Amino acid sequence: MDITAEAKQVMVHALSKMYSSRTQRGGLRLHRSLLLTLVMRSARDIYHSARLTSEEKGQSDTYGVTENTSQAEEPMDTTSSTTAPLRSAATQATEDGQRSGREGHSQIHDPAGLTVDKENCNPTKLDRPSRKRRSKTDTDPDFLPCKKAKLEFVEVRGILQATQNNSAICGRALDSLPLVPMPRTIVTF
Amino acid sequence: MLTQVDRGGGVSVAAPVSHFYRCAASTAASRQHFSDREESAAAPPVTSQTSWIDSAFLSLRFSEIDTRKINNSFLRDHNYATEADIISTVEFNSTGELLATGDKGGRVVVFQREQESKNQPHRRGEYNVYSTFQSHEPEFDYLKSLEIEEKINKIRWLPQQNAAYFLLSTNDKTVKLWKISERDKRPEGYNLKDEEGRIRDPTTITSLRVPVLRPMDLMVEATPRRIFSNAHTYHINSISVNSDHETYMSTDDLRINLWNLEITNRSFNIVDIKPANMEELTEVITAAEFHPNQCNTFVYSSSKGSIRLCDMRTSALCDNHSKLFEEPEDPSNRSFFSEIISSISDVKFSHSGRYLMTRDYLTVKVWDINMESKPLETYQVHDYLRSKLCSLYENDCIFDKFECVWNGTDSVLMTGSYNNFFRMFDRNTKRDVTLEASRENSKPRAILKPRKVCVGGKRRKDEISVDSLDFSKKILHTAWHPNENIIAVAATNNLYIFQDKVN
Repeated sequence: MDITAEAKQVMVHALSKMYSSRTQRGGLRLHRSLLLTLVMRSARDIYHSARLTSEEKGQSDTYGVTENTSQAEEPMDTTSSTTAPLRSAATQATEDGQRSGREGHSQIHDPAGLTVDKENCNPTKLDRPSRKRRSKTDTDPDFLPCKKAKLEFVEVRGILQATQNNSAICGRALDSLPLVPMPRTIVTF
Repeated sequence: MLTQVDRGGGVSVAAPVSHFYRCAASTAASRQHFSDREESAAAPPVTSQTSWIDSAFLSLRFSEIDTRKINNSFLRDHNYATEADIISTVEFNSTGELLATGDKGGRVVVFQREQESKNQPHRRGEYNVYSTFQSHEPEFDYLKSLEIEEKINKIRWLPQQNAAYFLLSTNDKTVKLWKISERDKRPEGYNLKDEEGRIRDPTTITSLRVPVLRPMDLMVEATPRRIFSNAHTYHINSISVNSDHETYMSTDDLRINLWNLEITNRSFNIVDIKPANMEELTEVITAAEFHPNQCNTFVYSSSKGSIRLCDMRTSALCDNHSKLFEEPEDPSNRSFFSEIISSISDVKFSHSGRYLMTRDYLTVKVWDINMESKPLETYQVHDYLRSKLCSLYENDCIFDKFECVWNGTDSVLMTGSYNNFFRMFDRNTKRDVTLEASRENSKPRAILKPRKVCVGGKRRKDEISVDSLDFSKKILHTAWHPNENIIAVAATNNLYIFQDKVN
């Protein structure tokens, strides 16, 4: 299982780098976030294909858990207000996307601490970021409709569009920056 | 900011930052140091002092063997490195007379080459601090709750048209045009104010006089002439001045804007690769440059390892490239990190305009603009890192963006590496050398000794093993004088200037 362990390590590092980049000076770097996303995807693909081959060989699955249909995160926009919080099943801690830049603490979660039973096994994730501030004890699954979150989404989008109108006068009209939608689910282990 | 320059050789500076730089004094002694490396084994036997680089390597013939070498270095006097002092860009102007550096603290320091004088031939061509100014300040974008770093990402000089010098400097969001000019006369004898500038009491003025210009100590002043802002949503990574001397372009992760140097409130978007849905984003622009002679042509490189050449005459928006330079990936080299190491960190046209050079994490490639299918030449910068990619990923070094430069005749390429090493490749002889920028070998007139990294097995004396490399000492930015063999190498917060021997 060497390659799967390595893939896991790579994904773990990518996640922690993404988290720490949210509090970095200068805002999110699009290029770096894109590269991390690509690394995550390629590690996930390698992990899955390695596990598939190992399953075909009849080896027992040491994790014994239904894997979530994980999809990679979307690349981060540089604007912190649109930062889609990375959602991993064990991140019950704060994932306050729009205030990430200003918050003093950055929750660097150890995804290796993910435990299976807290996993969100919902493949049909609603395609919107959850702006809800999460506490450690908050175990509300996010697929439940949350009116407050939706409102904030709309507000933030309105602010963004206003920003776009005020910014550069380019030869072309600037299209409004779409909010980066919620990544569907993080790879779980 | 005003900098007082004392032409006698010393520099006294009004700005507080100048004391960071110290020009290494030239002494009479020089050191000869050769090691028997493979790459120098084929070199012609050297009887006495020779150039700082294997003379045959550069295919230059030095008719005289001269003992006086000059190594200029601007080294910090203190050992601790403040982050603001980290040099983030280095650029010679078009004549090589001036050398500009930008740092993380938003400062620009300009060095000027001393004029050669017959009285002091050994001081030929040393660079001294000419001007220092604060180009960018940190800003806070309240709407996005983002701090905008003041780090200078790029400096590009404008061609000189009069006595003043002009350069463009940019941080993540704003480009500024700076004018650097000398003042050696000042008006004296005003009626309404005294010599210190205080307003005089009108009742004390009994006669009128005409102010006259009197010579004064030379002062170099830098003034911002244009500020080009609010045109980039993403972080600016390059600027490039067009050969028409009227326009320039600024490039961020997804867009390229074309500006007129005179007009600051309007720019034209010429490339936009932002997808309608950001979820579909697969590549970003990493660098762009105008062709050195054709004002309608430019190239931009992507994070996927491809380069696109565009012609502005075809359409207003150059999303469709005229040429696409891409090399198919070698499937045997596939790993977790293939995408990261294939991302191009720098692209440079040759001076002739015929070739392109690109730098990705492990290699430097030379492309012929007439051949899109594969590069003409590929040079391994530090292939011994290929097996270490996982640890380089963990310590973030795999994201480092190295630059690359051509020499004046497009025959030699130079780029940086780790452990304060930098590499040069001779395209004609296919020879390469690794040199180190460090205090030890920057004593004045010291010759640089070629270095070698051993990849395994028995380590020879003077070789360094891969695991002993210091990855915090990286050379990302270098510059080569447009006409002569003078190079500037930025090693974290130190600037090293190396020249070949005096002819």
